[in-house]
Amino acid sequence: MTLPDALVPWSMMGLAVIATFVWRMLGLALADRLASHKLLFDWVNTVAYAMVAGLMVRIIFFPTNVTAEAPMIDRLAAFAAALLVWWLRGRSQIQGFAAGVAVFALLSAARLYGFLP
Amino acid sequence: MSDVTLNHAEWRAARRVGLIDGFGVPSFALFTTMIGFGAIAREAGLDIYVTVATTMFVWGMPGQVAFADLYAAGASGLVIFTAVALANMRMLPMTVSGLPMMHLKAHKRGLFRNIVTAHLLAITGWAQLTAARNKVPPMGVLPYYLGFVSVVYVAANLGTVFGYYLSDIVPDPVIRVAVYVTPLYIVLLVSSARVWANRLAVLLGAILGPLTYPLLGDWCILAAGLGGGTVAVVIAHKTGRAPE
Repeated sequence: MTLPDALVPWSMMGLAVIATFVWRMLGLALADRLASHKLLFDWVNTVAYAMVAGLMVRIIFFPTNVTAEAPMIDRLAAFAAALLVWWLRGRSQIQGFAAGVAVFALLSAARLYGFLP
Repeated sequence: MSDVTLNHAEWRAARRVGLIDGFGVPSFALFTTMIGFGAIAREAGLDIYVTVATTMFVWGMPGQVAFADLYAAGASGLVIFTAVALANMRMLPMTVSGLPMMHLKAHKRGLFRNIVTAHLLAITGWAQLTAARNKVPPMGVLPYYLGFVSVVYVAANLGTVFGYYLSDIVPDPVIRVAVYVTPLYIVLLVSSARVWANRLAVLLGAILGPLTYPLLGDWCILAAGLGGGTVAVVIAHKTGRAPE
């Protein structure tokens, strides 16, 4: 079976849409049934948190996108700065976030203009 | 009271709180991330329509990136399907834990609207639900969430279009900062979870994810999620720190 060329990206996108949609539909179907099972519900919650944290920290440490062009030390320094400020400022998400972005942007600018190798 | 329905004014008031919360860091984070995705999709050879449709209908950044990367590499449909399903698998635990907070049954809104509600649930909106519970009454969580995600959804799609066209004009380091923003924001968001077990799960997942990645590749999401989540819930229940 061959598709007309113009439809290939659309059909591939369709597969990506279905691959994501099935999880949400399964979640919609199961949500009410699981809510009454305390331990199971707590477990699903911790799995969600651990999965999200694992994926996001993986992306920071081992990015597959354009961030990978920045040196590992820059990404880690910004991450450490964000966590440190977040912790010192009473878990302030906005201040931690601003610190991380500022450190990453400064390091990127320093490299761009030749202040750092 | 979760079984008392909202009147029109109460619905709109809760939605307005969500709309306002949607502006600021969440929209900025999604806008900039999707600039990154728009740039990636263009490099991958996708046209602008497919690129925007991907953001609208996949609505899950890691899966979108996996799709664009693999499409560029000429991967088969089966590989694309599997990789995206894996990258976006967190939608299952997120909808299971997030949707009950909105009391969909009590709102009696019909299947189609519930499906749209579930489709719009992604990391940012999900992580915001805990905050919503402190700002609006239980029945107000749904309108709060709908207001919040509609702002974020529009910002993300605008970011996708911008990223697609701006990647030639804006220098690479700027795009890099833009792409770096979202994972950082989400890590801080989930690290601030109220429930002790969930914070422990974040810590364990954050260690297991990058640690197992060199060995397991994209399967590290499963190792981090199932491993970290299971250990966290067991410790919480054994030490009497289970959520109320």
